[in-house]
Amino acid sequence: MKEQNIRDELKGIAPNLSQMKGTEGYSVPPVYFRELQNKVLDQLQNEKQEQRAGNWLSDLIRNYLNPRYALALATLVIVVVTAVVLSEDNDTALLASISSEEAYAYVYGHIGDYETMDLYTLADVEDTDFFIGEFSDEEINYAIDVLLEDIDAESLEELY
Amino acid sequence: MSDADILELISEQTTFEQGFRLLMTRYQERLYWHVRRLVVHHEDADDVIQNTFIKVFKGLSGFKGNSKLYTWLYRIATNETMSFLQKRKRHHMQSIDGEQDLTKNLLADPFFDGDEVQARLIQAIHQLPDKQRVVFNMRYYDEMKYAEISEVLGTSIGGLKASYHHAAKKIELFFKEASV
Repeated sequence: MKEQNIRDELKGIAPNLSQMKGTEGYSVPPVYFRELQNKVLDQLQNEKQEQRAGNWLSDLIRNYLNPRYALALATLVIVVVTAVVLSEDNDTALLASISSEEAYAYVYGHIGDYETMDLYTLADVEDTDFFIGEFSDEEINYAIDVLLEDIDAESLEELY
Repeated sequence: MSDADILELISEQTTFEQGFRLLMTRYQERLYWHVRRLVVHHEDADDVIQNTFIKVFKGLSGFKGNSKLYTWLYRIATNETMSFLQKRKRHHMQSIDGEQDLTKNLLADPFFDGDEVQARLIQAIHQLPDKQRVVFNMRYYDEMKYAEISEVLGTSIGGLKASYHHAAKKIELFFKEASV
């Protein structure tokens, strides 16, 4: 029925063509189609082997850097970074909460731990002659008082 | 066995070969003849059909069943054949379209059993533009419905009817001129 419709359609357009056989007359070598399957399957085996060989990197990524592991790694990094940042913030916050009296007491108690030039640098004093020469205990205490009045929490953190 | 069963076999590693052989047994001849009509010579058709099945293998994982398996296979075979023909034209290899002695060559071809009229019809078809040739073959030899051809080629049914009409007219004219 389908073929008849196609032939009928053709009669109106190309009457001579509609009278022709409708087959093309081609042939293939004996057992061609059976051999074709074997040839194609051999090629597919080669393709598969090449794919396997070429996929080692993607396998590595898929197996060892899959989203589950990547997520765990990223979480770990975030936790460590956050801990470090919070720890720094805590130090600053802690130092800011120290009173002047406590700071004086700490610095006096640890005065031997600092180099004179460190104190000079922190005080940002331009006249270096101020620190050159012999000083009495009163002069040194006076200098420390001056330094501690100017020093801010951040600088104190560096000293600490 | 349904196409879905065959695809299921192909998807399992242990039954892959059995499944692929079944797929080929079911469709290889129809696809081969479709390709052969477009490229004419058996050796060319053999190359193209092998590449077609390699492409099918590579694309099977992406086949979602939105179209019929046969339509999908036909589309791959048609695209593969068109690229082959384009490549042949680009590389200035022997062009079937411009070949004046195609009828004579076909009659001397060991893999052509037809008569002179059939050989001349093939020559007439190969003087058509690529698109018209594909549409004409699918309708005339494969007896496909316009809706099926439309699904394979992605062309409107109206456009296909026009292509088929023009192709048939040109072939008719070819025979009229030859008989004068």
